[in-house]
Amino acid sequence: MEQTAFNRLLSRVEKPARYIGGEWNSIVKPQADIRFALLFPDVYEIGMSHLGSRILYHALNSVEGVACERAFAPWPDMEQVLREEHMPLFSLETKRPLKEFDIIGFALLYEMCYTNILQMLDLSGIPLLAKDRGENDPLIICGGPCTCNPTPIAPFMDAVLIGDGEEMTPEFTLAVLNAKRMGKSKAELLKELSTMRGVYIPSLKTEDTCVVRRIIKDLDAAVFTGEPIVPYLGIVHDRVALEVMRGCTRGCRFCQAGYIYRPIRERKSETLMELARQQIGCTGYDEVSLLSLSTGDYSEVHKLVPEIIREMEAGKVSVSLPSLRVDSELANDLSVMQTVRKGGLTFAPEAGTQRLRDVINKNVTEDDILRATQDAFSAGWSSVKLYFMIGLPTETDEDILGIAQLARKISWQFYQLPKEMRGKGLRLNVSVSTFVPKPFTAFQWYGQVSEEEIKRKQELLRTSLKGIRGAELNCHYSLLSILEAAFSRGDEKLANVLLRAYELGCRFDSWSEHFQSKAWAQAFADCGLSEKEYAQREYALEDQLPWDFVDMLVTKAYLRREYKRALSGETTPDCRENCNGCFGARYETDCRLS
Amino acid sequence: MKLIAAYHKGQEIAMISHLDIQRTLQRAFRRANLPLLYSNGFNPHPQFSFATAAATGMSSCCEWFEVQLSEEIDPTEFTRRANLVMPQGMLISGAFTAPENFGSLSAKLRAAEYRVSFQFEAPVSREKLDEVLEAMLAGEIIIQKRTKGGIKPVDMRPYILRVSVGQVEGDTAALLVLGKLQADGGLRVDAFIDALLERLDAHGAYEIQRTNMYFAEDGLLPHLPAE
Repeated sequence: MEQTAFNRLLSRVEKPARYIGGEWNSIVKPQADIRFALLFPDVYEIGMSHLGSRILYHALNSVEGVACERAFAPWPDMEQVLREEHMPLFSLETKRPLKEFDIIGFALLYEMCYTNILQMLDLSGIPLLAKDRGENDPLIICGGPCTCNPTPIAPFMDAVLIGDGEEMTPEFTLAVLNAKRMGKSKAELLKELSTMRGVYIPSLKTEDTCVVRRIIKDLDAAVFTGEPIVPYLGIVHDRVALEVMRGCTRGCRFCQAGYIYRPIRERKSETLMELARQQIGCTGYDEVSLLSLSTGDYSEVHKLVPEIIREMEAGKVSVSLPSLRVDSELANDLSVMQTVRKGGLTFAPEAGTQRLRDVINKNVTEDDILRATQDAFSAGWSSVKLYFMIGLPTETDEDILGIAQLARKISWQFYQLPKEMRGKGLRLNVSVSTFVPKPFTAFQWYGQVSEEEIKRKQELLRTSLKGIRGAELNCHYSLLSILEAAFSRGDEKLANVLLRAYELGCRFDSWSEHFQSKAWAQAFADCGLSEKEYAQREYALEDQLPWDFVDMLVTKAYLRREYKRALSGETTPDCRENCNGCFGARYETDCRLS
Repeated sequence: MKLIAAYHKGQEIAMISHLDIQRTLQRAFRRANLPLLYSNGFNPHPQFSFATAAATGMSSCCEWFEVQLSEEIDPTEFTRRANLVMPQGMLISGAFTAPENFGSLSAKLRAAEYRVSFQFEAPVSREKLDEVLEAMLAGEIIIQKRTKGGIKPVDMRPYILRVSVGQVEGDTAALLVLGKLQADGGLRVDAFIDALLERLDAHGAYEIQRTNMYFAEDGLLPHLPAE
């Protein structure tokens, strides 16, 4: 399409920069043997902030003959323009209609983006259901954490890639290219792909199907983001992001990421320093963020953190450290960090009492938290964010009140300090989300508490936080949590609900301005199902689960053991101290800690 | 030192905002390892200022700005290094070192020239264009301007210095508009063009490119020829 006409079209939408491409470091390949469209089913600013997609973009484009291009879910204003103009959804790099690609891969990070998968396929003129697609349609695939229970979205997919994607996705793409060259049919190709570790082909599923998660063994040697794209538009995480390590050894029982990214694998601190230099150099960013599930547990954290802060400071680059845990030995590093920007500090006690923290295996004590906030306040911090969940297994009102008690202690601690020694005014943000049981966690059998109960608990907390200086409550929307629970542990019947919800206009469900609770309720009702039943469903430990055919390496026997320990309030130590045998005998050698 | 430079905003990035432009220039200069001078404080940032903002949707070949540098650098070398790391559609088209007490670009700015390219739904003749323009320029041109106090009618006529019709061919036409542009206000070209379309009773789309910026005469920056 001619630039003038394209600009004219874009002048009708709110943020045209979402659709223009051409960003610094974006890769345009006019010639390619195979084209892969990497799709993120949310808006540009969110999708471009996803590190995994950036890794895949680089990994795929590094392969000769492979062109990987991007597309993001068009915001409703752009969707309207595309429909009015009868214009198909296109890639940012070559503005090619997505239908002309060989493979379309969706990154699935959260369940509430599922309707946007359908929106993007629909706007591309591609049949939504795999069974309705022909030989000439692109292969529709997906990957990302949601695929550990691929059942609700399986009917839309030709293939699902489960596990680490940086090796598997290029390998998969080359296999498709090979089949294309040999003139193989789709059926032949899918059969061949089904033998690849990590690849699930829904159309070939039988009672014996078992898909084993793919992992990369050496993260330090693994491909990273190359020269990252620098967006024109301000995005959510607008900085260089370095993945320090993958996996977490803590074993928090509610945490899906903690189970599905095992074993723990690290990048060497020299590698990270080198990556920081290279990426700052080729992007011009002024901030580096060290990412992992728990950066405080990184074995070289006390070497890396001061070193990277010192070196980056010289080039006016700041360093941010999300996911630092409360019990990390922060104090020493904090004194170094004082010279950099004072962002907010975030702690995640998750539960308000020690009893409940033991149940969820969040091995953090109140003393740990108070020591860390004391250090932070003395070092000049005045903004603290606390994360909690409500609706956890075995929770009582005492646990809810415990959240307020902890907030009161922290507030008191701040105002105890002499005025000249503390920051201006305390901002104590108490952020409370609703617990969502997830597959492959110790709580996968447990049902979510009812909507009425969530609301009552939120009200109780609101009342008990009154009068605490600086405290501010932030509650996650409960209806959304119910749907999230329904889909995360859902089965194949939910694919029909998704289709119906999409028909009824559901899109961008994680955006409160677009979330349509009535349409969702109708979609479930029209399919003869209930979102509440799905969300609140209790499974027995011996029940067959919809995701049992996926082998995430952590065994079901181990998860059962953890569930029982949870109910008896017994904690499980960090596995770096002693192997807890979570992989069982079969994949023991995949973990260097066992 | 203070460097005065102009950037080019191509059609392919016409749709990005002024804020995006600022960020993009800043990052490009960092990639080029140019000796930017940073402000003090916890959140140091390079010191840039623009003669005026480049509106979203408008392309331009003459967006003047100033940047503070911590070391002397030859303006040609500055331009060369910056242009090696500029994204598509953007480049530095000229630069010079500001003399002592140069003052600010926004205070010196006086006028700008725009090229408007029309794509009408049905052909419009040159005669018709000339005729309607002449009639319009003979009186007030009231547009509704959004201000803090609500929408207010404003006469655009005093801001228009010259309008000339360029090539007219079939359903396309080009217009060259010279308008006042100062820190305290200036011609709103798009509003003027919308008013023109209404008077023409024509429908269609148009694109605006800023083709020149004019400043108070100082012997360095482009200025309006004395009339």
